[in-house]
Amino acid sequence: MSIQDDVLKFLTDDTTDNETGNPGPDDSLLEAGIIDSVKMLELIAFIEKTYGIKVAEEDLFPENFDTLNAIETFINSKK
Amino acid sequence: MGYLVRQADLEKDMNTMVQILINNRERKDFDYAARFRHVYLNNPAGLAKAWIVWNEEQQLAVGFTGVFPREMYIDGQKKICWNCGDFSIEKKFRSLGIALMLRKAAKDDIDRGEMPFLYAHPNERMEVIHLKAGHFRLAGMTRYAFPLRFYRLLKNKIGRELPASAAAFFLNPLLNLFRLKRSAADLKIQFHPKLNITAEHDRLDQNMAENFRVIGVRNQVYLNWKMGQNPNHQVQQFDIHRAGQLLASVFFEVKNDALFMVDLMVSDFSQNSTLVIEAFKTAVYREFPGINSLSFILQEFNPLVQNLKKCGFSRRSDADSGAIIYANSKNEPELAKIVTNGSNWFMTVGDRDS
Repeated sequence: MSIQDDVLKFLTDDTTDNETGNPGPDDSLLEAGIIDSVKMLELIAFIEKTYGIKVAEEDLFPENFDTLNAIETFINSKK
Repeated sequence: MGYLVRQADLEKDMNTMVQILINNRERKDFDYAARFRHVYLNNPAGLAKAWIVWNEEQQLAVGFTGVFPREMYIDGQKKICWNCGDFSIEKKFRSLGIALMLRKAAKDDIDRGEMPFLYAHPNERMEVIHLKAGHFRLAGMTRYAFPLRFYRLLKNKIGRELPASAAAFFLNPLLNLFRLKRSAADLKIQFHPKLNITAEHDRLDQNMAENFRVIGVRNQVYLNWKMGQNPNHQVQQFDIHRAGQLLASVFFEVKNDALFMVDLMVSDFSQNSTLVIEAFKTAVYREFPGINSLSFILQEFNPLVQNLKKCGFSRRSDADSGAIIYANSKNEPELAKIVTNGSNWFMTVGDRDS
C-alpha cells in the first residue's frame, strides 16, 4: 500500500458516513472535516509509529497536513 | 510556518473576532456582537484579553481566543485570574500547530506572572488541546438531575402522549407527597422572574468566601453583570429568607420543560444547603407547572454534590466534561498548591464564561 492509502485508511477507518466518497489527493481534509486539531494528534501518533519518524510541533500546520499529497510529501521529507 | 499570534485590540478587532465566532459556532439565535461587548468590554473585573492567530502570507485572521478576568477569593483574599473563554479557529486552519500556538498564549501570561492562574471549562475535544498545551485537569464537571414530574418518564415508557399525561396527572401529586418535603415554616420563599440583586448578596458572598478556600466572587456587581446584563441568557431567581434575612438565592434558566440551575448562594453552607435545596424543589413544583426536571452541572468535588444527592438528585453522565487549571507555581507556590487542588473549590456551571 502507498503512503496515501495507509493514511486514508487510518483517517476513514472509524468513519461510517462515506456518502461523499474518499477525498482526492489534493482535496482539503480540514475543510471536509476529516481532520481537525484533535484528530491530528491521532494521525501524528499513527505516522510516527508507522514510518518511524518524529513529528515536531512546528510541523503541525495545514501546509503539511491539509491534503493526502501534502502528508505524503511531508512524510517523505522526514524519512 | 507563516502563522503569528498577536494580542488583539478589543475595539478595533472586535468585528474580526465576532465574525470568526459566527462562522464557526452552531447557535444561530445568539447575538455574538452583544455577547462580545458584554464579556470582553464590560466585565466589572476589567477588560478581557484576546489573541488572534494570523496567516501572514494571506494577512488573514484564522482564529482567536479570549480570557476574561475573574475575581476570586483564595483563603479569603481577593485575587484576579483568567477564566478562559472563546477558542475558535476557521475550519480549514484547524491544525494542531495553530491550536497549540493559540492555546499557549494565555499560558505564557501565567508563566510571565501577569496572572497567578487560569481556569477553563472546555468540552471533551478542547480538553485534549489544553492538556497538550501543558494545562492540568482540575476535576470533572458533572450534571445532577431531579425528575420533578413524571410525564417525560412515562411518555418514554408508554410511548404515547395522552395516556402518559393522564397517568402523570394522578402520579405526580401522589409521588411528590413523599419526595417533596414541606418547607420549614420559618422560611419565606420569593420568586423573581427577573434578576433581583441586593446588598444582601454581598453578605452572602462574604459568608461563602469564609466557607470555601477557592471560590469566585459572587457579589452584587458581579451578579448584576454576569446574569442581569447578559444579552443572551434570561436568568431567574428564587430567594429564601429566614427571620427577615436572605438565607439563600438560587439562579436558574428555564428551557422548554427543564429548569437548569446556574448557581446557588447560601449562608452558613453546611447548616443550610440541604434545607435550601429542598425548599427550592418544592417552590419550583408550585411555581412552574410545566417543569418536568431540575438540572445542575457542578464540579465533582463541590460539597454541594453530597447535598444534592441527599435531596434525591442523581448523577447523569450525558454532560460530563472537565475543569482545567494552570498556575504559576514559581512565583506563587503556596497559591498554586491551593488552586490546583480540586477539592478546595466551590465551582458550578455558573463559573463558566457567559
